[in-house]
Amino acid sequence: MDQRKLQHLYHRAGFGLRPQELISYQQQDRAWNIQNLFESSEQIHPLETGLGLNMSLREIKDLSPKERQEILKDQRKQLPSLNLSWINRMINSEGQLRERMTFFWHNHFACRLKTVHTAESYYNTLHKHALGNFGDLLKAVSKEAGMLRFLNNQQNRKGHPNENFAREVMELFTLGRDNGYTETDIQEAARAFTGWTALPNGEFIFRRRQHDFGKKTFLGKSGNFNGDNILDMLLEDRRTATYIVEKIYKYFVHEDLDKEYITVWSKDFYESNYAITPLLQNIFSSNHFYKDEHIGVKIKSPVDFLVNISRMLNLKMENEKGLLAMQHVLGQVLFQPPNVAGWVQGKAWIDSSSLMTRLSIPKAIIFSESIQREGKMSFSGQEDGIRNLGRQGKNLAATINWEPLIETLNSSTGEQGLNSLFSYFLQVESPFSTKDLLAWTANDNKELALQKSVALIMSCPEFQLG
Amino acid sequence: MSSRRDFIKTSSLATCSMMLPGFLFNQQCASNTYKGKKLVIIQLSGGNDGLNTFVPYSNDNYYRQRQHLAIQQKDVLQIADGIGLNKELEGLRGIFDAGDLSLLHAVGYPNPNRSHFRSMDIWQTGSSSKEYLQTGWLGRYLDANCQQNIPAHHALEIDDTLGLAVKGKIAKGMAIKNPGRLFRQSKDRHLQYIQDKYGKPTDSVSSLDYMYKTMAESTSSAQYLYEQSKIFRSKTTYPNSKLGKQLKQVSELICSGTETQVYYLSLAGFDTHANQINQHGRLLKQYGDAVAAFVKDLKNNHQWEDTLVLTFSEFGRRLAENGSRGTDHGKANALWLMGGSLQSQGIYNELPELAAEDLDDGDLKWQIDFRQVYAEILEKWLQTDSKAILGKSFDTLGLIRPA
Repeated sequence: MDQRKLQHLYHRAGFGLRPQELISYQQQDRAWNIQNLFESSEQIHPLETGLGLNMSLREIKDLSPKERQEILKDQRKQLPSLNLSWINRMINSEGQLRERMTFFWHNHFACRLKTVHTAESYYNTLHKHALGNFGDLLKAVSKEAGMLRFLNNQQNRKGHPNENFAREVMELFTLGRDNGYTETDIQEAARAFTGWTALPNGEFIFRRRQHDFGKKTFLGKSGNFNGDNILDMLLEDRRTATYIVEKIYKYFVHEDLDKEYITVWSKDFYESNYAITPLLQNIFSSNHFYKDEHIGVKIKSPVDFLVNISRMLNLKMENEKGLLAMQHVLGQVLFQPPNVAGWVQGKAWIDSSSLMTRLSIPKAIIFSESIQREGKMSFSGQEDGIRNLGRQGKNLAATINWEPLIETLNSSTGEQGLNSLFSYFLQVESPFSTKDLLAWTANDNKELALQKSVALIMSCPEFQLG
Repeated sequence: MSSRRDFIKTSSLATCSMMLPGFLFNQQCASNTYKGKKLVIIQLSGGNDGLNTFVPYSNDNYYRQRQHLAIQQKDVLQIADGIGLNKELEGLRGIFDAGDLSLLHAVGYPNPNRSHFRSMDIWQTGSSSKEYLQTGWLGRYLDANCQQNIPAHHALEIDDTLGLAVKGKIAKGMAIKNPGRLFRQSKDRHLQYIQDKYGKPTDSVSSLDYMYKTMAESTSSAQYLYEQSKIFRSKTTYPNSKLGKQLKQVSELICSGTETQVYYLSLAGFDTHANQINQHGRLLKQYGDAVAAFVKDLKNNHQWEDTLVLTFSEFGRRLAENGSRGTDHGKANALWLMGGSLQSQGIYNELPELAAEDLDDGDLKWQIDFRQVYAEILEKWLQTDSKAILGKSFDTLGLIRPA
């Protein structure tokens, strides 16, 4: 398979090809590589960090208010550890496609999680259904404690409706904004979702006493609908399939939609009853996906950027908190999207400071330097030790295993090795030539020349594209 | 693959108006409207307790609902009938007395949200509580300014990272903490080398060219700000606090004639759920003392007439104290403008009685929509069409003296 197209597949469907994979995968054809991606992601591996509540409902109910507060506080404090567990999975998991899709669904069903047990449960739901059936995924996520609380559905009761949950389910999760529903539809849907809430241990519960059992009229149909009925009706509407396919297209192929492909793929997605795997197979096996104008045009999100560097350099941070700090500084923290609409992609990631920080990070990691940057302060004004790349020591020190890169790229001094570096690290033309690199590393030994070359290549804006 | 260099040579330069979002398309491209007017925003993050900032010391309900937290009459700095400053805000007293402060009570918006993130987004994007906008109100001001190459330093946020308020769709402000440090970072030899290889930035809309353009602007703005920062040394003594240093930085840039129209700063820690008195007091003192020095400095250098300072928080706090000697998230709040060109001086509107009928489930009901304040600033101070930026027309308030 053509190297650039192979890398394109792995940048989009995964988090980048590791150097040790390059030679063997490139010798295989497209069909093999696609199959490899799906097979490697067949297994489901729930996150089981043990950081969750580990208490029965009864035990929780027996806690005093003060004890409850302490536990909640602890649960919040542990969230960064869960974040690290997740980002480490993205870096190390063989199931790259499943992790990529889990991350995609996190941005689609965007939710800010406050405690480890709700966050872990939410991740596991996304992960489990990531490559399965969108309908199942929708229903499962809609019953996640984290999501229900984030969208205030515990306040949605018979006679005192709170529309937030119903609105976002329709506007953001299924049909898309202003896509054929009215304000009344939202209100009626809200009534159907009354009673959907969560127990203190994070389990979903349907509270009959809070539920409005009356007749509702939704999208032209009438009946004593409950929440599940609403979700079914939203799935029955073809526009949901189109909306989801459009989002997937924008994320995986290109910001600008191609109407013909969207039409075909949406029809297939709908008629397969929202099967995600066939949809992705359609996309990744099409020639359209590999068109030149689709390659190397997507600005990596902060998490993409961090995971990508880690995989390409086979690196391990000496202090993992650096990975948290960099998320804060670059503006994307797992489990903490800005709001239910998710993170804005593309050029929105880039401003003077975020760009200069991105361009400085690879070199700092490679040469164990430090960068001083502070993320936005928390509202409480308290330092929690995870937002800032601080002044102490070499805060981006890492151990890099250069061997796979050396072996794979056959890097000797001279043109051949250097060209290989360009074609591995960049999906677009390099701003400088191999002659430039030779001059840049003129008096350096082989090892240092490699490090300096890689640092320079990863410091250019071209490296931000995937 | 055609080379990027070829692409740059042959691509046509997109005009500024082609890059603007749809609803700004009809915006008449204003000529440079920057007439030396400076806007300084101080964001108090966490939900500042307005009732303990501008204290209603004659109000029985206030004392009844805050047995422990209410500030006693003897402890306030009286500035008007029934209103006194929290004693830690000595720094604001002179400003108020000089007619350079306009206090608005009960500023908020319909269907208020009491989540920090959500409400702060609403304030920073200037949206309604039902919308999720992805650009900041000041960012959209930058977009609408429609200068061909609006420099990044036209709006500065004093921080390491850029917040949403100054992010437009195309144009964005620049985050900077320290001109010297930023300049040194921009001189890194790797980055210099790469930039030298690139050539001239174009106006094309590709992601790559956008990044190179941003890089070039950052470098040139970093240099500009560094040079500006050496021109003027303030003779005023500033407190040694974080906000004190930041406002000193801002003042020196203003007084050296820097072409920056907007400065955005924030002070965090106002989320006083427990043991409010001391924490709130410390923050107010930091704020008041820093602002006092800032105003004095600008006045000494004849810059006060052309400066407007907006101080706001994402929500106020509940009237009743909680069980931890603190207060919980509320809704409408006090907001104030300071400047040398105010038309409405002193108290703009009355604080309601704080009886049950004045409250929305224990919180202050809003009287003034915060977007009216933005409209006032956009129309009267920044001299731009507020409707295009805020999405609809909001009545202005007569706070700022006509030019």
